Amino acid sequence: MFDRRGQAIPLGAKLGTGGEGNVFEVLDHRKLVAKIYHQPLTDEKATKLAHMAEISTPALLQLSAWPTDVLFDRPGGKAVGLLMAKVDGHKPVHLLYGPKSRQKEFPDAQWPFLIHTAANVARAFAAVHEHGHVIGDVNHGNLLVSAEGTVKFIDCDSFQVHAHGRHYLCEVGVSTHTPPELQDISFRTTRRTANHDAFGLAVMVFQLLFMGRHPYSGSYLGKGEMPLEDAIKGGRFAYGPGAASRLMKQPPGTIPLEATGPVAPLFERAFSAVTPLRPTALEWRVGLQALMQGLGQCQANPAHQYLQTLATCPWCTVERQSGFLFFTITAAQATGTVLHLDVSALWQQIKAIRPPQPPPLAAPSSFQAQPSSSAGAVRARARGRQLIGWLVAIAGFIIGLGPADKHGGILIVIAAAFIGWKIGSSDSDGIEKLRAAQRDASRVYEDMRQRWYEATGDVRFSNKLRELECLKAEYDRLPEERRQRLNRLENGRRAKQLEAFLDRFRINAATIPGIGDGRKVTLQSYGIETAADVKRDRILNIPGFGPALTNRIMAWHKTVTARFVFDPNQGVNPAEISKVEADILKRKQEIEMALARGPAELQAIGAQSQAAMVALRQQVEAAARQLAQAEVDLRSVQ
Amino acid sequence: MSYDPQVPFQATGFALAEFAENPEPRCPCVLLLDTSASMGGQPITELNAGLVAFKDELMADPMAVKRVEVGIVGFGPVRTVTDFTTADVFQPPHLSATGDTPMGAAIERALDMIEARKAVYKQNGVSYYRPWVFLLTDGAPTDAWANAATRIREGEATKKLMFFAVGVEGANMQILSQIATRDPLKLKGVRFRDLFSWLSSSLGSVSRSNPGNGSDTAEVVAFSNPVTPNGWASTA
Repeated sequence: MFDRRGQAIPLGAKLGTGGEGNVFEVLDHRKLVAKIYHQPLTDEKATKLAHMAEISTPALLQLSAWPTDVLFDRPGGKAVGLLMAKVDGHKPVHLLYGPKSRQKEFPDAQWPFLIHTAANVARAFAAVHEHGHVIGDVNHGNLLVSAEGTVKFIDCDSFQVHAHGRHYLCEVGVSTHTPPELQDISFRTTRRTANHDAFGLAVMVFQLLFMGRHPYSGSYLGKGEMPLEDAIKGGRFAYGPGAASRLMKQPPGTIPLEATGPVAPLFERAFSAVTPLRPTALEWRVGLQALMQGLGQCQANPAHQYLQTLATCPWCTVERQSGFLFFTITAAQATGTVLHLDVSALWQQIKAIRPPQPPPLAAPSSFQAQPSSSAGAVRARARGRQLIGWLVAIAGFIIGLGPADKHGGILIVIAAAFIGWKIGSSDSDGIEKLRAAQRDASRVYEDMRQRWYEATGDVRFSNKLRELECLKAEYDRLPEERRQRLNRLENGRRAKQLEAFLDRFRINAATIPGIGDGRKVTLQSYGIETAADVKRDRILNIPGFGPALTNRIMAWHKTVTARFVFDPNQGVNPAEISKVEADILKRKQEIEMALARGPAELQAIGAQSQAAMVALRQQVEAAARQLAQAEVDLRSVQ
Repeated sequence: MSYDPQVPFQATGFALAEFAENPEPRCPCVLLLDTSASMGGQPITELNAGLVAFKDELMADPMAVKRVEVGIVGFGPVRTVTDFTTADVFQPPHLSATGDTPMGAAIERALDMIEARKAVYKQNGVSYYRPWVFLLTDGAPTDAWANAATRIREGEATKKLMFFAVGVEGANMQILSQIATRDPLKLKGVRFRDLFSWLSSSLGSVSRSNPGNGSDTAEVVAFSNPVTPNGWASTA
């Protein structure tokens, strides 16, 4: 290959194949690549490329793979290709705005990154337009994004270029990014404007902000079908307050247009009228920057950023609706180096709270009581009876041993002693009352003592503290648990790949000696349908399958397994990683909230104890005093 | 014939995760694969290899991965081998050749699957391209196929679907041409891999830049003619 000056350009390895041509590396030029077309170039196209190389500017070279030279098959021969800057470390924009591909290709990208990238897209469009050119074929694949959110155009040879007083047309497009007024016409003969580009730009900004949704994809409320192209032609923007009047409803699980704040009116202008003066690249940039400044973090999920003028986080809502997590919580957000809650300080606070210190319980023994007057009366009555008893006994003794000695006097003595003893020791009502009073007082005191311990004792406090200690220990283990769970996912990769591989080999299609159709049917009826289901124990359990047949099936399983090749590039499913991160984050937040409540709860327990002490103290003392009195009274009569 | 496809329940306000994670417009494609006994031996082996190649080819096109949804109906007997899945989730099945050729019932199953899938797209606010039905057979229908043919003609006339019929050695090309509105193609030998490579590339073209002549998207799809000396097909 030779350039315009006739200098030889040695090509290296083929880097890729596209619809129009192959791309090769250029030897000795790490920063350049060569595109060689499949079809020979027309004179028109060759002139366009030469003019593009002539009018390149540092700005254009910076934001695109602008052609820098034309390549010929021999010096001064036929044009067959072009030279351009190599674009490294950039990926097609649809890998960023598509949520599933974003998890894999831009795992840390959250809404601010998407908005920021959209603003950079607007800057790139503005620069191209300032040069007098039009992108024309705006699409999902020819704009590339770097890890920093900067963008570059590729396939610039299709741009509509204004050079040397001529407009070289862009002859292609994709319908999803084509404005309504161009939907029905041929690009080969149409001169396009910056206002046409503004439609494609608006679609791309929308896709970046709305998780890859197309502004005209929604549920059509009218009859029949509504292909995307017809929706574009009819200005049937599926979002915003006017959507229903356009017979459109936005898809379920999408954020409302208002969630884009200052950008929302720009979308309305770009999409709802058929041929409007659309927002310019500059207007987009300004609006997107304003949106960015209004963002704040969601309290429930740090991966969510939303406009703080909204009442609730729209991402929480749509994630609940779809069960899909749009943004991956970054490692920093998950392991808590950016804590919005200082757990260690909180823990110091918890440890500093002293358990309630109840004063010693008032014991009955601490009260000096004198027998009461009622006890004195009981005692006096008791003494009287004792006296009568003695008198009866003495009288019986005298009578029995004297006049009646010969007539069974000993019996009289015994009877009188018994009667006397009975009278003297007879249980009076008074003593029984004193016993009952003592029992009652004792019961009341025990009851009060129980209540005092429950209310003022530190049982509740220490239980709560133990609960908080367990939570804190779990909290400290979370980073380790996260690591272990992610490791398990990583280690399970091979097993999952093998499982998927084995599952492709169906028993009924396999040729296994001794296993005919009948036995295959038996195997299937026991749930053994593919090589993935084959387990020695399972087969041995099937009637009619002894060790010999089982060995044959195992041998087949072994030959199939031997064909498996582990693909280390096939990573862990990002959705599963996301789930682990979300689980850990959720638990972290639960614990944080429980710990955050800890000091207040402990203090509440203390305050309640204090109040209980005040309320119970007098009652406990009264009960103790009453018991002391009852015991003294009872003792005094015994 | 009028019928109303069943639609899976989806609570109001809720969305299916498969469309949340990937809202790209879908291009549904049903492969109607003859698995009758006569396909046994090399043809079925090559067909299975072709399906694996089909997945690989689709995976190589990052936009086709997101947009093309593959469903497979085998016959006979008629069974849904794979319900619609995007190429990244699609697992090429391992088909075996048994039974007769109930082609009519199989076609109707495919058309029903498409109607049901379209209802799911609508529910989830996802756009779709004109569905493809790709019939591959080495025989002639062993059941009634007139109704299936009527439905295909209606679908083609109202631009609701595109139907392609490919005959493998032994196929009754005359009946195929009565079922399909497009001329049926005849596979050269057992070049299933070339066929699926062509199909993948044709399906992928829905997302490629084109000159935009104002016709609907389905017709913008640029078919490279498979009937060339090096192509995989010949006309009957």
